[in-house]
Amino acid sequence: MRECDTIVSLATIAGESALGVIRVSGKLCKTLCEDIFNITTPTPRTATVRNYLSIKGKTVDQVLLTFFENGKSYTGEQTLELTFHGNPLIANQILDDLIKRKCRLAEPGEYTKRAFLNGKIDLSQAEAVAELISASSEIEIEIANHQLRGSLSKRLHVIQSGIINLQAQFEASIDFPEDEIKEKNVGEILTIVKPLKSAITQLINSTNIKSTLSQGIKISLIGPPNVGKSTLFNNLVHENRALVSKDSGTTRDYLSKELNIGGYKVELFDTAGIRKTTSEVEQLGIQNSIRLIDDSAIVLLVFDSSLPYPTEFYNSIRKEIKSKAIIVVENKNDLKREISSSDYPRNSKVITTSMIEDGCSENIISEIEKVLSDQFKINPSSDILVSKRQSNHLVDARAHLDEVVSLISSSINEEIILQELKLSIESINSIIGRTDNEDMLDQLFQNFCIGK
Amino acid sequence: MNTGLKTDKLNPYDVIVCGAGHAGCEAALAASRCGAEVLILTGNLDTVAQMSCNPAIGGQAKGQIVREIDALGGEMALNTDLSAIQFKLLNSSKGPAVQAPRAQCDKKAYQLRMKHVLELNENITTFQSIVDGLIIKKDKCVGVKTTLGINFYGKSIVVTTGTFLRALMHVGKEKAEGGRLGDHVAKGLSADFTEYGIELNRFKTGTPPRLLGRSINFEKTETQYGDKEPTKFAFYDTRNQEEMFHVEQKGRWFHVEQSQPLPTVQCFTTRTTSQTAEIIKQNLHLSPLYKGDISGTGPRYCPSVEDKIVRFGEKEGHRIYLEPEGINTDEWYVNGLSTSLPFDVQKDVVQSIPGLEQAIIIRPAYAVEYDYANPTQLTRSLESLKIESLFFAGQINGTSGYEEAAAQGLVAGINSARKALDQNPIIFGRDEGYIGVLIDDLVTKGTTEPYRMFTSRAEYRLLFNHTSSELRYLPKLQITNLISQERKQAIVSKAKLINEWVLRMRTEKVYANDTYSDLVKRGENEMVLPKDFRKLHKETRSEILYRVKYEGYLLRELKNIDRMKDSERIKIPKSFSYEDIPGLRKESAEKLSVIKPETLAQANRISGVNPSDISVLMILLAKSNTN
Repeated sequence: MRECDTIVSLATIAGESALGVIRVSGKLCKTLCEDIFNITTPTPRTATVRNYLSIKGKTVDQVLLTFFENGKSYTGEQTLELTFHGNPLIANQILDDLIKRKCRLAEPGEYTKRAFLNGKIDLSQAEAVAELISASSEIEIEIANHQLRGSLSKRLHVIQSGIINLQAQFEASIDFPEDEIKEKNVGEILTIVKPLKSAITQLINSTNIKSTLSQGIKISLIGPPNVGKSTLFNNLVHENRALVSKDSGTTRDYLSKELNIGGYKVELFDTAGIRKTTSEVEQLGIQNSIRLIDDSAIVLLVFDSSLPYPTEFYNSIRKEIKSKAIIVVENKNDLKREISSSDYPRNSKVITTSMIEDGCSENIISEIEKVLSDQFKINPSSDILVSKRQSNHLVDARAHLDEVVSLISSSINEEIILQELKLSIESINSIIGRTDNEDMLDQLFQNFCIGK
Repeated sequence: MNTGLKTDKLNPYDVIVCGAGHAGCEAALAASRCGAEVLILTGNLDTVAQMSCNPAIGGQAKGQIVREIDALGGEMALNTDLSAIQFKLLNSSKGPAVQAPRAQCDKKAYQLRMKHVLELNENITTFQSIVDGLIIKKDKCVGVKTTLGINFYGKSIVVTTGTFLRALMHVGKEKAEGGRLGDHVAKGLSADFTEYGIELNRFKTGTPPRLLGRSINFEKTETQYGDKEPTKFAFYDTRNQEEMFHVEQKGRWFHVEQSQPLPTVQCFTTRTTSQTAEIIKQNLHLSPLYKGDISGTGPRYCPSVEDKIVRFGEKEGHRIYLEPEGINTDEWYVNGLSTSLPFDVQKDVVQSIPGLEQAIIIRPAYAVEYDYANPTQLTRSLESLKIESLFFAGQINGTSGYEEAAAQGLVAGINSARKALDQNPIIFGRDEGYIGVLIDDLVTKGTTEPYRMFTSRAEYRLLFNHTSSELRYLPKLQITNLISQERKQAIVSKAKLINEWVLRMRTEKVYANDTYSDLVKRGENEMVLPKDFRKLHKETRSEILYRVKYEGYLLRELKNIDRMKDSERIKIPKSFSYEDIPGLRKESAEKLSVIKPETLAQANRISGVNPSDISVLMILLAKSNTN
């Protein structure tokens, strides 16, 4: 019930589109115009183009912003509408930035609720509004429950119990000083907190996996020029999309295409062959390719097996390729083999093939499938977090546990540490529902022989 | 003006208090301070303010409550200080927020002083008689009936009958009616409550045996000394000399105290043995608690010794505390040995404990089950939702502990008086102190075991350190007459002084760029602080240091309170109906109808009510406001 908060949300559907709209409602709007766009007195109901400056001073995107003043907006409060290039990454950046600026993600139906409370919707719609809110909340709860019914919900409850247990520990020594509860020392407490933190981190990462999954897992074809990357790309995509010519360096930049491999959404990138060149255009393309390696989850290293191992090429990408899953494609095996596999990066899978053969990419696709299911072990029905909001709460919960750790090591009073623990519990409460002091007392009386 | 016992319907008392236990006494005294004419009825004038169990006041969270009672002009703190035989500050090695004063008292001295205070108070009439019925007219309570056949009439009635309603005591198979060994039982009231729709449930509690001191071999026990420098409960830096001798009569302060302070004593501890465990295990079938012969739930934090053995085996033996019940008695209380086992088993159990091999039991341990009234049927001023002008306070509400009872008595006393005098009730909030937490927990959530205060129940615990009690209640003190003008002024000055010092510490630089605040936070010795600081009263100094040292954390709590207050502002009118509200879940509607929360924030605290229910209510409240 934080009615005075300024709320934000994505007004358009999440995902890629030409444009996206973010709505902000609340008393911070005017301040936001100043801080983000350097506009001290925004002209209401007039669209202006400006750069969105993040709290760190970085330009996120060029946006179209419209300010609505108090009383003359949908909700009746000051409102800001931001139209940006419909890229989910940008949407998230803007939302994250607004949250850093003390806004809060809106609850379902909250704009309409405010509209009513501010008298913008008339009384006859009141019942409909109430039903709408409760219905969408129930749906939200139902969806949440459905999604959370699986291992995720159990995991969160386990984490929650772990924290409450720790809380009971401290509370026992505070509220029952004469019962000789053996207080845990710093080391023992850290042993308890550490696995809780990693469990939370795992869940947070699974959100990242989720957004990767929904945006597409990036796989890039990397290799020296003229090894057959573009042919491979075309084969994988079943279309003649890339430029293929005998002239090395045809693909100047990169091309990408969305594919479905093994049920996963994949974004496949063809890249410029990496070599030393004087051509500026080509150099740019090569730089992009190297950057792409960083973004990719899987890298297909394509080599011409009739040539010796391209060490110069490999050295130029060695750093970026270090943490990636690698599939080495030895192309042109119809020619005499010159390459030595001893130089291949360790732990890489190897496929030999020839692009002029029919069905040559079948092996490659099944290998990619194997790596994908290895890397992204997700059970879609139970491991997916519903919203960014929940992931934010987990980040908060973990941050409070971090604070607990630093407080413990500085031997500060237990009741101070307990406030941090309680905040951590509250953050998780926001996802799985409210706990009470009674839950902690239950643990306390179960674990300790208390009382006279 | 006290004109003797009034029985005229047309000339009612302002407040009638039924029961003179810890809740009843505070209620009567508070009501009289608010200007009401009070009648207090008790079944036994010899057990006024009797400590039925532990001969001690205070302890964790309870000590803080007692100091809050003193801040609000209550009696318990002063009464304790003046009958105490050992003082101890618990958690002294921990932070100030969780330090709690505790005192062993001479039981008789405690109750005799309280009785004397009641007697000397001009606005209070005491009378011995058991209340066994209510007089209700049109859903409003206008009086009480007693077993003597006499009716008394009052504008407000406060029920503080403790554990006496249909009370049944158990020693093994033997049952006896009575709220306390040797005391009476109150039967009629329960019937009336039920008839008028006041829901009753049953609780149980237990008390250990009492031993003859000269039969205890103290050589085999460990000594527990009290603190050399006692931490007292009452605030002495805001009282003048005269006020310490507390009762005002005919415009002057009347001496109630003994001229000599009471001597101090030691307590002792020992442990149960594997033999003790054996005896208990073999006789569990004879324990009514275990056989299920006793209905009603008992408190988890005060388990019977059978409970302890069954659930936790023997550990290295459970600790037993031996506490003297007074200076002029050889009776000793055995803390930790609460049980309802038959008497001969009790003897064996006692004698299996080192130091108690030859101990003589002079009072047996027993369990008592009793009726309590579900406190969710009360408003936050402790008035019944079903019957107007009927207030409930103390163990009758399902709490345990003298301190929790006294706090409720204070609140009910204030509000029953104000009701009788046509004034608005005073509501205590969760942000002010443990008293507010206690009331809100009872009234909003109810309780499934005898409720006891823990510091963990208070979300703003950091702000509730015992030295800040008066300062926290200053706003309430200023709009009431609970304390004298002089004391009010003294507290105002104290608050000002503390705030000035905190500001000075925060801003005045000492060495290089360090302020006093920086030094304090670093843990520097008090000697670095200015000379005139060290001249301040001990409690004032500790309060200032606390605020300086934990500034950041305390500020965060204050911010949380501000946010909470925002949502407390949305009130729910008494007449609000939860029936047929689209989008409101049935279970929530039922709970809300029973508890009748007064604000939206209170509704949010009811277990089972979730955020979407609150959203719906918010809209409807806005709608009904604009209508």
